[in-house]
Amino acid sequence: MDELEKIREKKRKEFLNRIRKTKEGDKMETKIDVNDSNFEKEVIEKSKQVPVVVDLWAPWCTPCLMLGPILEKLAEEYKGKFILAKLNVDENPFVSQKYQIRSIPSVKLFKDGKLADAFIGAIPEPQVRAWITKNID
Amino acid sequence: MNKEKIGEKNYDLIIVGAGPAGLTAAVYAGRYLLKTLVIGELDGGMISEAHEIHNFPTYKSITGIELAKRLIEQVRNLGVDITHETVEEIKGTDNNFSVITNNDIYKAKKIILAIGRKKKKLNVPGEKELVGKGVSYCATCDASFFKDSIVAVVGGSNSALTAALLLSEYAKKVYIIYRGIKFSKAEPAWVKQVESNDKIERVFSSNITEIKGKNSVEEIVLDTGRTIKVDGVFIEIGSVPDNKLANQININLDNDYIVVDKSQKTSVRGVFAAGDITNNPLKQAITAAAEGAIAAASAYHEIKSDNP
Repeated sequence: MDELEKIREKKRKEFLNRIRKTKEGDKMETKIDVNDSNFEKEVIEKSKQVPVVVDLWAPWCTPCLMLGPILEKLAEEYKGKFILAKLNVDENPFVSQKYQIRSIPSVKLFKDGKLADAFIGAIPEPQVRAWITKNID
Repeated sequence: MNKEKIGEKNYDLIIVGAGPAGLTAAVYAGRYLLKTLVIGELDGGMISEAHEIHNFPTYKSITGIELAKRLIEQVRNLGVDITHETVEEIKGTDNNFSVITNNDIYKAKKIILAIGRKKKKLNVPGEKELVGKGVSYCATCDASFFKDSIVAVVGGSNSALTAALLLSEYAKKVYIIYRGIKFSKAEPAWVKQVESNDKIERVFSSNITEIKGKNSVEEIVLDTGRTIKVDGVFIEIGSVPDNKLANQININLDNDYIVVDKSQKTSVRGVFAAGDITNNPLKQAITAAAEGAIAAASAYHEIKSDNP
């Protein structure tokens, strides 16, 4: 009996570890932080495999703090159908200049290595959802 | 069949709006054990955009986002549902209202409208086309993109003057374009700071008639005939009540604001209003919260008297 319990316990731990790993894996695939130096690799290159939604934000921008959780919730819901890439414009002037950002929150969608769609401002969840659905599904 | 599912969409009270008025109404409704649904677009509503609030009792200073977060948490703890949808239409009469959103239809005995205000737009050619390309409605968000640039701020209220002062820390020149002959609406302390700031030029008795620019803002045209070369235009001309829903059920308005009595009742039985959307004189988070509390209490008493 004891032996059987030990095997059960071992199997249970293995199972839990596997689940945990999958969960962590999912998380890494739905939301990442990007910066000036890895933008090309993590956004442009990656968008050739899966659409990447870039959220250009800054900590002092309150509409950004309203929009951020909405995008994060949708990224989790879509389970990897798109990747949410967060870029802090304050720390990453190169990307901000390249895309001529003059207003945040600014959200840009990259597909097949190219900028495919964009919106500006903290728009309500139903509108964000419609925008994602239109571009992803 | 799916009776439970249908039953789930019937509420005692539906609160439209998730700002301080709507959320405080939800706290009270939750404690009255009313079956309540809050339908809001953005948690906290306009308060979330407030950089810092210094006049909400118990907090020396709190950001709008933080205040909204705490209110949401309090509402959820009471078991009140909050859904993020856009209300498109309200139909029906007392004890039998239908609230149609982008997603669903909900039924309610009573309604509280806490739909607040929206930021006003200039509505001039070029404004819409150049949003994000130099046209901005949030100086705190976007000021840092205008280092060594020339910008214009439109408006004459506290928010316009504080936007100009903030922008002067980045831009090399800031114009304030205002239709009045002096800043009579703003606090004297801000006016004094603006007057003594070398980078700020005040342009009175002027309205923008057009914003010009190919790929980004290049120039503004004023109704005085003057044109000014600028890289950015910050629009701070206040806010307007969001009264589309009120009009659908023929609620009495006063200058676009919903007329309420001391119990926050509107001219339509079963519909209450609270916060910035009402014709009450002060538009603050604390008064919105208070109106929300009164509206919820009035809805509760009406439900009790309708169903003895």
